[in-house]
Amino acid sequence: MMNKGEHVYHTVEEEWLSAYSAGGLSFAKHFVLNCQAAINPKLSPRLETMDTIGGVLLESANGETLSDGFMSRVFDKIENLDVKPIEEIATSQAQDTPNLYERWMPAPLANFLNNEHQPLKWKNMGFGVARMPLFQQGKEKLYLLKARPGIKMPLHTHHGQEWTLILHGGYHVGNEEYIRGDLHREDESCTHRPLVDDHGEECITLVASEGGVKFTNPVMNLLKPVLGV
Amino acid sequence: MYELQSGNLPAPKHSTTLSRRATVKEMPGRTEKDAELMRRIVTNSDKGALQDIALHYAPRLKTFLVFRGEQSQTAEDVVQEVIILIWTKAAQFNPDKGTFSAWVYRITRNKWIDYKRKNDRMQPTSPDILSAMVEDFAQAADVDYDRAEASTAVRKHLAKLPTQQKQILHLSFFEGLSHNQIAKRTGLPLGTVKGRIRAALKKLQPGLKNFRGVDQ
Repeated sequence: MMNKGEHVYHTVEEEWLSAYSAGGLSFAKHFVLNCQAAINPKLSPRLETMDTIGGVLLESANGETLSDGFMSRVFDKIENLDVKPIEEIATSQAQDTPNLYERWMPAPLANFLNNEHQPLKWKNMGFGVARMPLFQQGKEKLYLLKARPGIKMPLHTHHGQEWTLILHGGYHVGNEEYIRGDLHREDESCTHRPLVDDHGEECITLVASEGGVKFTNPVMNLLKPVLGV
Repeated sequence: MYELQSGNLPAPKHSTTLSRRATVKEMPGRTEKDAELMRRIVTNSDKGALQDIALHYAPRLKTFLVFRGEQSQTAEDVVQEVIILIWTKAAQFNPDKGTFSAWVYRITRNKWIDYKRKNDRMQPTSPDILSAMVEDFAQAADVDYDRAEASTAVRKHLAKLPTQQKQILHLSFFEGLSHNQIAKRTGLPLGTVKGRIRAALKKLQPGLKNFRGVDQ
Protein backbone atom coordinates (compact mmCIF):
# COMPACT_ATOMS: atom_id res chain seq x y z
CA MET A 1 0.00 0.00 0.00
CA MET A 2 1.14 3.50 -0.71
CA ASN A 3 1.62 5.90 2.18
CA LYS A 4 -0.63 8.92 2.27
CA GLY A 5 1.06 11.90 0.67
CA GLU A 6 3.67 9.73 -1.04
CA HIS A 7 4.61 11.04 -4.47
CA VAL A 8 3.34 8.96 -7.38
CA TYR A 9 6.13 8.94 -9.95
CA HIS A 10 5.41 9.62 -13.58
CA THR A 11 6.95 7.80 -16.46
CA VAL A 12 5.84 6.79 -19.93
CA GLU A 13 3.44 3.93 -20.61
CA GLU A 14 4.59 0.32 -20.75
CA GLU A 15 4.58 0.42 -24.55
CA TRP A 16 7.33 3.05 -24.54
CA LEU A 17 9.32 1.18 -21.91
CA SER A 18 9.26 -2.00 -24.00
CA ALA A 19 10.25 0.03 -27.08
CA TYR A 20 13.16 1.38 -25.03
CA SER A 21 14.31 -2.12 -24.19
CA ALA A 22 13.94 -3.30 -27.79
CA GLY A 23 15.92 -0.32 -29.10
CA GLY A 24 12.87 1.10 -30.84
CA LEU A 25 13.12 4.67 -29.55
CA SER A 26 14.94 7.59 -31.11
CA PHE A 27 18.29 8.47 -29.55
CA ALA A 28 16.75 11.49 -27.78
CA LYS A 29 13.90 9.53 -26.16
CA HIS A 30 16.17 6.60 -25.32
CA PHE A 31 18.57 9.03 -23.67
CA VAL A 32 15.81 10.69 -21.63
CA LEU A 33 14.69 7.29 -20.30
CA ASN A 34 18.31 6.36 -19.56
CA CYS A 35 18.59 9.52 -17.49
CA GLN A 36 15.32 8.77 -15.69
CA ALA A 37 16.55 5.27 -14.81
CA ALA A 38 19.79 6.81 -13.54
CA ILE A 39 18.04 9.10 -11.06
CA ASN A 40 14.86 7.21 -10.31
CA PRO A 41 15.69 3.82 -8.79
CA LYS A 42 12.07 2.76 -8.86
CA LEU A 43 12.12 2.64 -12.65
CA SER A 44 15.27 0.51 -12.95
CA PRO A 45 13.76 -2.89 -12.05
CA ARG A 46 11.10 -2.50 -14.73
CA LEU A 47 13.69 -1.83 -17.41
CA GLU A 48 15.95 -4.58 -16.12
CA THR A 49 13.07 -7.05 -16.30
CA MET A 50 12.48 -6.10 -19.91
CA ASP A 51 16.16 -6.53 -20.73
CA THR A 52 16.04 -9.94 -19.03
CA ILE A 53 13.12 -10.92 -21.28
CA GLY A 54 15.13 -9.72 -24.29
CA GLY A 55 18.10 -11.74 -23.06
CA VAL A 56 16.09 -14.95 -22.66
CA LEU A 57 14.66 -14.53 -26.17
CA LEU A 58 18.17 -13.87 -27.50
CA GLU A 59 19.57 -17.05 -25.94
CA SER A 60 17.29 -19.32 -27.93
CA ALA A 61 16.80 -17.30 -31.10
CA ASN A 62 17.66 -18.65 -34.52
CA GLY A 63 21.08 -17.39 -35.51
CA GLU A 64 22.17 -15.86 -38.81
CA THR A 65 25.22 -17.37 -40.46
CA LEU A 66 28.35 -15.31 -39.98
CA SER A 67 30.82 -14.71 -42.77
CA ASP A 68 34.03 -16.75 -42.93
CA GLY A 69 36.80 -15.47 -40.71
CA PHE A 70 34.47 -13.52 -38.41
CA MET A 71 36.23 -14.59 -35.21
CA SER A 72 39.70 -14.17 -36.73
CA ARG A 73 38.85 -10.55 -37.46
CA VAL A 74 37.60 -10.09 -33.88
CA PHE A 75 40.81 -11.55 -32.45
CA ASP A 76 42.95 -9.44 -34.79
CA LYS A 77 41.23 -6.34 -33.46
CA ILE A 78 41.65 -7.49 -29.88
CA GLU A 79 45.38 -8.11 -30.52
CA ASN A 80 45.68 -4.59 -31.86
CA LEU A 81 43.91 -3.21 -28.81
CA ASP A 82 46.59 -4.93 -26.75
CA VAL A 83 44.42 -4.80 -23.67
CA LYS A 84 43.38 -7.48 -21.24
CA PRO A 85 39.88 -7.46 -19.78
CA ILE A 86 41.08 -6.91 -16.26
CA GLU A 87 43.29 -4.00 -17.30
CA GLU A 88 40.48 -2.40 -19.17
CA ILE A 89 38.27 -2.05 -16.13
CA ALA A 90 40.55 0.40 -14.35
CA THR A 91 40.75 2.55 -17.47
CA SER A 92 37.07 2.30 -18.31
CA GLN A 93 35.99 3.10 -14.78
CA ALA A 94 38.13 6.19 -14.85
CA GLN A 95 36.66 7.17 -18.21
CA ASP A 96 33.12 6.38 -17.19
CA THR A 97 33.28 8.47 -14.04
CA PRO A 98 31.57 11.68 -15.04
CA ASN A 99 32.89 15.06 -14.15
CA LEU A 100 30.61 16.43 -11.51
CA TYR A 101 29.19 19.30 -13.49
CA GLU A 102 26.28 19.83 -11.16
CA ARG A 103 24.63 17.76 -8.45
CA TRP A 104 21.37 17.57 -10.35
CA MET A 105 22.96 16.11 -13.44
CA PRO A 106 22.35 12.37 -14.10
CA ALA A 107 25.48 10.36 -14.92
CA PRO A 108 24.44 9.65 -18.55
CA LEU A 109 24.03 13.39 -19.17
CA ALA A 110 27.40 14.20 -17.59
CA ASN A 111 28.97 11.48 -19.74
CA PHE A 112 27.27 12.85 -22.83
CA LEU A 113 28.65 16.34 -22.19
CA ASN A 114 32.09 14.89 -21.45
CA ASN A 115 32.16 12.78 -24.58
CA GLU A 116 30.83 15.54 -26.79
CA HIS A 117 33.16 18.06 -25.11
CA GLN A 118 30.25 20.34 -24.44
CA PRO A 119 30.49 22.74 -21.50
CA LEU A 120 27.27 23.52 -19.67
CA LYS A 121 26.37 26.78 -21.36
CA TRP A 122 22.91 28.30 -21.03
CA LYS A 123 21.38 30.61 -23.59
CA ASN A 124 19.04 33.13 -22.05
CA MET A 125 15.68 33.16 -23.83
CA GLY A 126 14.12 35.91 -21.75
CA PHE A 127 11.05 35.57 -19.53
CA GLY A 128 13.25 33.87 -16.88
CA VAL A 129 13.94 30.87 -19.11
CA ALA A 130 17.31 29.58 -20.38
CA ARG A 131 18.04 26.74 -22.78
CA MET A 132 20.97 24.57 -23.76
CA PRO A 133 20.73 22.54 -26.98
CA LEU A 134 22.30 19.07 -26.77
CA PHE A 135 21.45 17.12 -29.89
CA GLN A 136 19.25 17.16 -32.96
CA GLN A 137 18.27 14.29 -35.24
CA GLY A 138 15.86 15.24 -38.00
CA LYS A 139 13.21 17.42 -36.39
CA GLU A 140 13.68 15.91 -32.95
CA LYS A 141 15.63 18.02 -30.49
CA LEU A 142 17.18 17.16 -27.17
CA TYR A 143 17.87 20.10 -24.88
CA LEU A 144 18.04 21.33 -21.30
CA LEU A 145 15.61 23.96 -20.11
CA LYS A 146 15.94 26.05 -16.98
CA ALA A 147 13.13 28.18 -15.57
CA ARG A 148 13.05 30.65 -12.69
CA PRO A 149 10.97 29.68 -9.64
CA GLY A 150 7.34 30.75 -9.77
CA ILE A 151 7.16 31.27 -13.53
CA LYS A 152 3.88 30.50 -15.23
CA MET A 153 4.72 29.16 -18.68
CA PRO A 154 2.50 30.37 -21.54
CA LEU A 155 -0.43 28.16 -22.50
CA HIS A 156 0.77 25.81 -25.22
CA THR A 157 0.50 22.47 -26.98
CA HIS A 158 3.07 20.51 -29.00
CA HIS A 159 3.88 19.44 -32.52
CA GLY A 160 4.31 15.70 -32.00
CA GLN A 161 5.43 14.44 -28.65
CA GLU A 162 7.44 16.09 -25.94
CA TRP A 163 9.13 14.12 -23.16
CA THR A 164 10.26 16.20 -20.18
CA LEU A 165 12.39 14.74 -17.41
CA ILE A 166 12.58 16.85 -14.28
CA LEU A 167 16.18 17.04 -13.02
CA HIS A 168 15.88 19.78 -10.42
CA GLY A 169 13.03 21.66 -8.74
CA GLY A 170 9.59 20.92 -10.07
CA TYR A 171 6.35 22.23 -11.53
CA HIS A 172 2.62 21.68 -11.48
CA VAL A 173 0.15 21.24 -14.31
CA GLY A 174 -3.23 21.71 -12.70
CA ASN A 175 -3.24 19.40 -9.70
CA GLU A 176 -0.55 17.15 -11.12
CA GLU A 177 2.86 17.52 -9.48
CA TYR A 178 6.14 16.83 -11.30
CA ILE A 179 9.37 16.62 -9.30
CA ARG A 180 12.93 15.35 -9.80
CA GLY A 181 12.82 11.90 -11.34
CA ASP A 182 9.42 12.35 -13.01
CA LEU A 183 9.02 12.00 -16.75
CA HIS A 184 6.16 14.00 -18.25
CA ARG A 185 4.95 13.05 -21.73
CA GLU A 186 2.69 15.36 -23.72
CA ASP A 187 1.49 15.41 -27.30
CA GLU A 188 -0.72 17.41 -29.62
CA SER A 189 -3.86 16.31 -27.84
CA CYS A 190 -3.09 18.34 -24.72
CA THR A 191 -2.96 22.07 -24.12
CA HIS A 192 -1.36 22.96 -20.81
CA ARG A 193 0.26 25.67 -18.74
CA PRO A 194 2.97 24.45 -16.38
CA LEU A 195 3.54 26.50 -13.24
CA VAL A 196 7.10 26.26 -11.93
CA ASP A 197 7.14 25.62 -8.18
CA ASP A 198 8.10 28.63 -6.13
CA HIS A 199 10.29 27.01 -3.49
CA GLY A 200 13.34 29.10 -4.30
CA GLU A 201 14.76 26.51 -6.69
CA GLU A 202 15.09 26.79 -10.43
CA CYS A 203 13.40 24.07 -12.40
CA ILE A 204 15.79 22.24 -14.72
CA THR A 205 14.45 19.74 -17.23
CA LEU A 206 15.80 17.51 -19.98
CA VAL A 207 13.50 17.67 -22.99
CA ALA A 208 13.13 15.49 -26.08
CA SER A 209 10.82 17.33 -28.45
CA GLU A 210 9.64 16.01 -31.81
CA GLY A 211 8.46 19.30 -33.25
CA GLY A 212 8.52 22.15 -30.76
CA VAL A 213 5.73 23.98 -29.00
CA LYS A 214 2.63 25.66 -30.37
CA PHE A 215 1.48 28.62 -28.26
CA THR A 216 -2.17 29.53 -28.09
CA ASN A 217 -1.13 33.19 -27.98
CA PRO A 218 -0.27 34.26 -31.58
CA VAL A 219 2.26 36.84 -30.34
CA MET A 220 4.20 34.08 -28.57
CA ASN A 221 4.14 32.07 -31.80
CA LEU A 222 5.78 35.00 -33.59
CA LEU A 223 8.55 34.94 -30.97
CA LYS A 224 9.27 31.22 -31.43
CA PRO A 225 12.27 31.69 -33.76
CA VAL A 226 13.80 34.04 -31.20
CA LEU A 227 13.08 31.66 -28.34
CA GLY A 228 14.29 28.68 -30.34
CA VAL A 229 11.41 26.39 -29.31
CA MET B 1 11.33 -27.74 -23.58
CA TYR B 2 8.81 -25.40 -25.07
CA GLU B 3 8.75 -23.85 -28.46
CA LEU B 4 7.02 -20.87 -29.91
CA GLN B 5 6.05 -20.81 -33.52
CA SER B 6 4.99 -17.69 -35.31
CA GLY B 7 2.60 -19.67 -37.46
CA ASN B 8 1.35 -17.68 -40.41
CA LEU B 9 3.23 -14.52 -39.61
CA PRO B 10 4.89 -13.09 -42.71
CA ALA B 11 8.67 -13.02 -42.68
CA PRO B 12 10.29 -9.64 -42.01
CA LYS B 13 10.42 -7.54 -45.16
CA HIS B 14 14.08 -6.73 -44.71
CA SER B 15 15.35 -10.28 -44.59
CA THR B 16 14.90 -13.20 -46.89
CA THR B 17 17.23 -15.43 -44.91
CA LEU B 18 15.63 -15.27 -41.49
CA SER B 19 13.60 -18.21 -40.44
CA ARG B 20 9.88 -17.60 -40.22
CA ARG B 21 9.81 -19.66 -37.09
CA ALA B 22 10.42 -17.75 -33.89
CA THR B 23 11.70 -19.98 -31.14
CA VAL B 24 11.72 -19.57 -27.40
CA LYS B 25 13.44 -22.59 -25.95
CA GLU B 26 14.62 -23.22 -22.48
CA MET B 27 18.39 -23.39 -22.39
CA PRO B 28 19.18 -25.33 -19.23
CA GLY B 29 22.55 -24.42 -17.74
CA ARG B 30 23.14 -21.53 -20.17
CA THR B 31 23.18 -18.87 -17.43
CA GLU B 32 25.73 -20.77 -15.36
CA LYS B 33 27.85 -21.57 -18.42
CA ASP B 34 27.90 -17.92 -19.51
CA ALA B 35 28.87 -16.78 -16.02
CA GLU B 36 31.72 -19.30 -15.95
CA LEU B 37 32.98 -18.24 -19.38
CA MET B 38 32.93 -14.61 -18.31
CA ARG B 39 34.84 -15.49 -15.14
CA ARG B 40 37.52 -17.18 -17.26
CA ILE B 41 37.78 -14.11 -19.48
CA VAL B 42 38.28 -11.83 -16.48
CA THR B 43 40.61 -14.01 -14.46
CA ASN B 44 42.69 -15.63 -17.23
CA SER B 45 42.13 -13.39 -20.28
CA ASP B 46 40.90 -16.64 -21.81
CA LYS B 47 40.27 -16.14 -25.53
CA GLY B 48 38.83 -19.63 -25.82
CA ALA B 49 36.08 -18.56 -23.42
CA LEU B 50 35.39 -15.50 -25.57
CA GLN B 51 35.20 -17.75 -28.61
CA ASP B 52 32.67 -20.01 -26.83
CA ILE B 53 30.54 -16.99 -25.94
CA ALA B 54 30.75 -15.68 -29.49
CA LEU B 55 29.94 -19.06 -30.97
CA HIS B 56 26.59 -19.03 -29.20
CA TYR B 57 25.67 -15.35 -29.22
CA ALA B 58 27.24 -13.74 -32.32
CA PRO B 59 24.86 -15.39 -34.86
CA ARG B 60 21.87 -14.53 -32.65
CA LEU B 61 23.00 -10.94 -32.22
CA LYS B 62 23.27 -10.72 -35.98
CA THR B 63 19.65 -11.89 -36.25
CA PHE B 64 18.66 -9.24 -33.68
CA LEU B 65 20.23 -6.54 -35.87
CA VAL B 66 18.94 -7.89 -39.19
CA PHE B 67 15.42 -7.81 -37.72
CA ARG B 68 16.03 -4.10 -37.16
CA GLY B 69 16.71 -3.55 -40.84
CA GLU B 70 20.50 -3.73 -40.94
CA GLN B 71 22.24 -5.29 -43.90
CA SER B 72 24.26 -8.44 -43.24
CA GLN B 73 27.66 -6.70 -43.36
CA THR B 74 26.61 -3.82 -41.10
CA ALA B 75 25.05 -6.25 -38.65
CA GLU B 76 28.32 -8.21 -38.51
CA ASP B 77 30.33 -5.02 -38.00
CA VAL B 78 28.17 -4.09 -35.01
CA VAL B 79 28.31 -7.65 -33.61
CA GLN B 80 32.09 -7.58 -33.96
CA GLU B 81 32.23 -4.42 -31.86
CA VAL B 82 29.92 -6.02 -29.30
CA ILE B 83 32.20 -9.09 -28.98
CA ILE B 84 35.16 -6.75 -28.45
CA LEU B 85 33.15 -4.89 -25.80
CA ILE B 86 32.44 -8.21 -24.06
CA TRP B 87 36.20 -8.69 -23.88
CA THR B 88 37.11 -5.19 -22.74
CA LYS B 89 34.20 -4.72 -20.32
CA ALA B 90 34.06 -8.30 -19.02
CA ALA B 91 35.02 -7.25 -15.51
CA GLN B 92 31.93 -5.05 -15.34
CA PHE B 93 29.63 -8.05 -15.72
CA ASN B 94 28.34 -9.18 -12.34
CA PRO B 95 26.33 -12.44 -12.38
CA ASP B 96 24.78 -11.45 -9.04
CA LYS B 97 23.09 -8.54 -10.78
CA GLY B 98 21.57 -10.39 -13.71
CA THR B 99 22.20 -12.79 -16.55
CA PHE B 100 24.84 -12.48 -19.22
CA SER B 101 22.18 -12.65 -21.93
CA ALA B 102 20.43 -9.55 -20.51
CA TRP B 103 23.81 -7.80 -20.25
CA VAL B 104 24.80 -8.54 -23.85
CA TYR B 105 21.27 -7.69 -25.07
CA ARG B 106 21.65 -4.25 -23.45
CA ILE B 107 25.17 -3.72 -24.83
CA THR B 108 24.08 -4.66 -28.35
CA ARG B 109 21.04 -2.40 -28.26
CA ASN B 110 23.10 0.53 -27.00
CA LYS B 111 25.88 -0.10 -29.50
CA TRP B 112 23.35 -0.18 -32.32
CA ILE B 113 21.68 3.08 -31.23
CA ASP B 114 25.10 4.72 -31.00
CA TYR B 115 25.94 3.37 -34.45
CA LYS B 116 22.73 4.81 -35.95
CA ARG B 117 23.21 8.14 -34.22
CA LYS B 118 26.74 8.51 -35.54
CA ASN B 119 25.88 7.44 -39.06
CA ASP B 120 22.77 9.60 -39.27
CA ARG B 121 24.95 12.58 -38.36
CA MET B 122 27.66 11.33 -40.71
CA GLN B 123 30.16 11.39 -37.83
CA PRO B 124 31.19 7.73 -37.72
CA THR B 125 34.25 8.43 -35.57
CA SER B 126 32.48 10.48 -32.89
CA PRO B 127 32.48 8.88 -29.44
CA ASP B 128 29.91 6.34 -28.30
CA ILE B 129 27.46 7.62 -25.71
CA LEU B 130 25.19 4.76 -24.70
CA SER B 131 27.53 1.81 -25.15
CA ALA B 132 30.22 3.60 -23.14
CA MET B 133 28.03 3.00 -20.12
CA VAL B 134 27.18 -0.63 -19.52
CA GLU B 135 25.65 -0.19 -16.10
CA ASP B 136 23.75 3.03 -15.86
CA PHE B 137 20.67 2.26 -13.78
CA ALA B 138 20.14 3.64 -10.31
CA GLN B 139 19.59 1.10 -7.57
CA ALA B 140 16.84 1.65 -5.05
CA ALA B 141 17.82 1.36 -1.44
CA ASP B 142 14.21 1.25 -0.38
CA VAL B 143 12.94 -1.27 -2.90
CA ASP B 144 13.09 -4.87 -1.84
CA TYR B 145 14.50 -6.20 -5.06
CA ASP B 146 17.07 -8.90 -5.58
CA ARG B 147 18.20 -8.61 -9.21
CA ALA B 148 19.47 -12.16 -9.55
CA GLU B 149 16.30 -13.54 -7.96
CA ALA B 150 14.13 -11.36 -10.17
CA SER B 151 16.03 -12.53 -13.23
CA THR B 152 15.47 -16.18 -12.33
CA ALA B 153 11.78 -15.46 -11.72
CA VAL B 154 11.44 -13.82 -15.14
CA ARG B 155 12.87 -16.89 -16.86
CA LYS B 156 10.60 -19.18 -14.89
CA HIS B 157 7.46 -17.15 -15.56
CA LEU B 158 8.34 -16.64 -19.22
CA ALA B 159 8.39 -20.41 -19.65
CA LYS B 160 4.87 -20.63 -18.26
CA LEU B 161 3.30 -17.91 -20.41
CA PRO B 162 0.69 -18.94 -22.97
CA THR B 163 2.13 -19.30 -26.48
CA GLN B 164 0.28 -16.23 -27.76
CA GLN B 165 1.87 -14.04 -25.10
CA LYS B 166 5.34 -15.47 -25.74
CA GLN B 167 4.85 -14.86 -29.44
CA ILE B 168 4.00 -11.22 -28.90
CA LEU B 169 6.92 -10.69 -26.53
CA HIS B 170 9.19 -12.17 -29.18
CA LEU B 171 7.87 -9.78 -31.81
CA SER B 172 8.19 -6.84 -29.45
CA PHE B 173 11.54 -7.46 -27.72
CA PHE B 174 13.49 -9.58 -30.15
CA GLU B 175 12.17 -8.44 -33.51
CA GLY B 176 11.78 -4.87 -32.27
CA LEU B 177 8.29 -4.31 -33.69
CA SER B 178 6.09 -1.52 -32.33
CA HIS B 179 2.63 -2.43 -31.06
CA ASN B 180 1.13 -1.07 -34.28
CA GLN B 181 3.47 -3.20 -36.38
CA ILE B 182 2.61 -6.27 -34.32
CA ALA B 183 -1.08 -5.60 -34.87
CA LYS B 184 -0.51 -5.38 -38.63
CA ARG B 185 1.68 -8.49 -38.69
CA THR B 186 -0.66 -10.65 -36.65
CA GLY B 187 -3.96 -9.19 -37.78
CA LEU B 188 -4.94 -8.67 -34.16
CA PRO B 189 -6.64 -5.46 -33.06
CA LEU B 190 -4.18 -2.96 -31.54
CA GLY B 191 -6.00 -3.09 -28.21
CA THR B 192 -5.55 -6.87 -28.07
CA VAL B 193 -1.83 -6.55 -28.78
CA LYS B 194 -1.42 -3.96 -26.05
CA GLY B 195 -3.52 -6.04 -23.67
CA ARG B 196 -1.48 -9.20 -24.28
CA ILE B 197 1.83 -7.41 -23.80
CA ARG B 198 0.56 -5.73 -20.65
CA ALA B 199 -0.75 -9.01 -19.30
CA ALA B 200 2.53 -10.80 -20.03
CA LEU B 201 4.64 -8.07 -18.48
CA LYS B 202 2.41 -7.88 -15.44
CA LYS B 203 3.22 -11.51 -14.72
CA LEU B 204 6.93 -10.93 -15.24
CA GLN B 205 7.50 -7.57 -13.57
CA PRO B 206 8.65 -7.34 -9.99
CA GLY B 207 5.76 -6.10 -7.89
CA LEU B 208 6.49 -2.43 -7.75
CA LYS B 209 4.22 0.43 -6.85
CA ASN B 210 4.38 4.19 -7.10
CA PHE B 211 4.34 4.55 -10.84
CA ARG B 212 1.80 6.36 -12.87
CA GLY B 213 1.65 5.61 -16.56
CA VAL B 214 2.85 2.03 -16.18
CA ASP B 215 0.02 0.23 -14.51
CA GLN B 216 -2.72 2.22 -16.11
